[in-house]
Amino acid sequence: MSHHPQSVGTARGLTASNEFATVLVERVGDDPALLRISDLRRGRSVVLDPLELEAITRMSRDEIRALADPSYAGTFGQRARGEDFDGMVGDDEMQIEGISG
Amino acid sequence: MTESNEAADPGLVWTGPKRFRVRTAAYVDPVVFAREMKRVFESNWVFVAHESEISEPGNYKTSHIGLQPVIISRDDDRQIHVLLNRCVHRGAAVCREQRGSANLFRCPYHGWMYGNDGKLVGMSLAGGDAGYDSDFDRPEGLVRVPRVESYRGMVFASLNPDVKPLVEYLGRAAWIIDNKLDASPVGQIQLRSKPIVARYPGNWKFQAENIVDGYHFSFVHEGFTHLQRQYQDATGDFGVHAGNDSPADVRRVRSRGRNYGTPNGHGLTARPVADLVPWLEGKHGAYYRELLDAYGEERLKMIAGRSTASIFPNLGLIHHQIRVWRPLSANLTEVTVYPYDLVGVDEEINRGWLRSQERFYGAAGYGQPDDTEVFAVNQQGLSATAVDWLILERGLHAERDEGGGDWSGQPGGEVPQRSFWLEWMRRMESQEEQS
Ligand code: FES
Ligand SMILES: [Fe+2]
Repeated sequence: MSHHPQSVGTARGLTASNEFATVLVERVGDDPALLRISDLRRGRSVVLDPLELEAITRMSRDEIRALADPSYAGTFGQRARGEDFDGMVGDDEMQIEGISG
Repeated sequence: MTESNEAADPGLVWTGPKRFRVRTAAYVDPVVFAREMKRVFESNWVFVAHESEISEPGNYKTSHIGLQPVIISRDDDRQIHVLLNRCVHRGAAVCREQRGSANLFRCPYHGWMYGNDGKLVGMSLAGGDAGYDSDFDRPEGLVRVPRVESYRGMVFASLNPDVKPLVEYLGRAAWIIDNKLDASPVGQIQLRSKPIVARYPGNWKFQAENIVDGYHFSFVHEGFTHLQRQYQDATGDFGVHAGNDSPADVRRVRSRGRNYGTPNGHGLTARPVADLVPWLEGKHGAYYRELLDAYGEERLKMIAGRSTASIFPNLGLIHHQIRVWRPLSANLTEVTVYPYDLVGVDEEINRGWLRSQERFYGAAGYGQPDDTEVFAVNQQGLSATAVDWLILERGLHAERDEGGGDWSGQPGGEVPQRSFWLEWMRRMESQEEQS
């Protein structure tokens, strides 16, 4: 996996990358009303509409930090804080026990 | 060994009337190395970045204070932070790249996340029976280097909270920084080019001593002097920029200047030009006339001349470059050369300086590779530990007291090196851990 910062445009979208993450931002379908953001390292993605995106523009840096806080979203995960450990297995379906050493 | 030496062990630096010698162990002994990381690097100001390297909010770079890895970042409010590059969880390095852009840093080990101001944003998988209890003593974030100050865009940091103010520490070295930066009509430089990085199997102090050593030039750089004699400007003007004069003509109008050593261990060389005419009427006359209006004749002689500094312990200024040396062990050192541009001058002038740096200091240049080669040879020679001393007594009989602890002598003497060693010794012997 490359950790080199880069930002590459394609016909449909743009990847943004630094040593911590790589995401692809692209228009969905032929209708430019929606944007999809994909985490290229983990394969997850989310589709956002203009109102949702507009909401992000109103967020303060601290609110964006809260949004990124891994204790809620989880680096691997999909569960909220308080979920037990087994619920936090990565998207690649590897068992935590299997990822040692 | 002499009788006077048997009477009392002079330690690592032997000073006396007509005496200035340094013991081999100062360059080769791993115990000395470990001690100097604490006493020389961690208790002192150390250069970590130039502000133009992190000019935009979100920019960061990684560097070192001695052996301690640090992150230098610029946050949303444009404030600069110097943080220890070590996750407060179980200690992994958080940033691995030399430079980048990020508002958030994520530890590669277990995913703890930090803001680029160092604040802990959150611990991954925080909850549950395998996570942290509600009264967990949550760290604030990455550990902050306690002191950060800049002088004209040069950022220094110190792990010692009680270190003296930076300007006071720089002393006469600030004059050399001014000479360099005032070559820009707006007094600013910019690091735009990729740095040249090289390692040599030798002690870091060879580089600190050599950057202000006028003695070695005609020996180590003999090949280069032949080349200049034979081809003159055909090999490039080497940053002379005086007009159509040959490098030899330029040497003729440069005064011998002086070398300085300061009480905080800085070594300096200042060689003003004796005659400004070749500069004012040369190829870049318009530029030099602009500087003449801004600074006047005496200052311009200094600015157009040659100023070099070895700023204790890890920073060099020479030509149009910032040079940083990083100790890795007693016999391994990394040198990074950052060429800089002058802000507010014609692109052609900056390009000329850059080409001249590549020619002399580049990996395949005519100069720098010979220096690093001789450092390796020096370390090799010092494997003969059966011999005790290195001799640094050139010009000792003719040193001039400049007041305030500064000394001067003619270039080619060893005044700067002696001041370096005196400060080094003072720190190595100091009773307190921090000074
Ligand atoms: S060491 Fe950084 S998250 Fe564990
Ligand atoms: Fe040299």
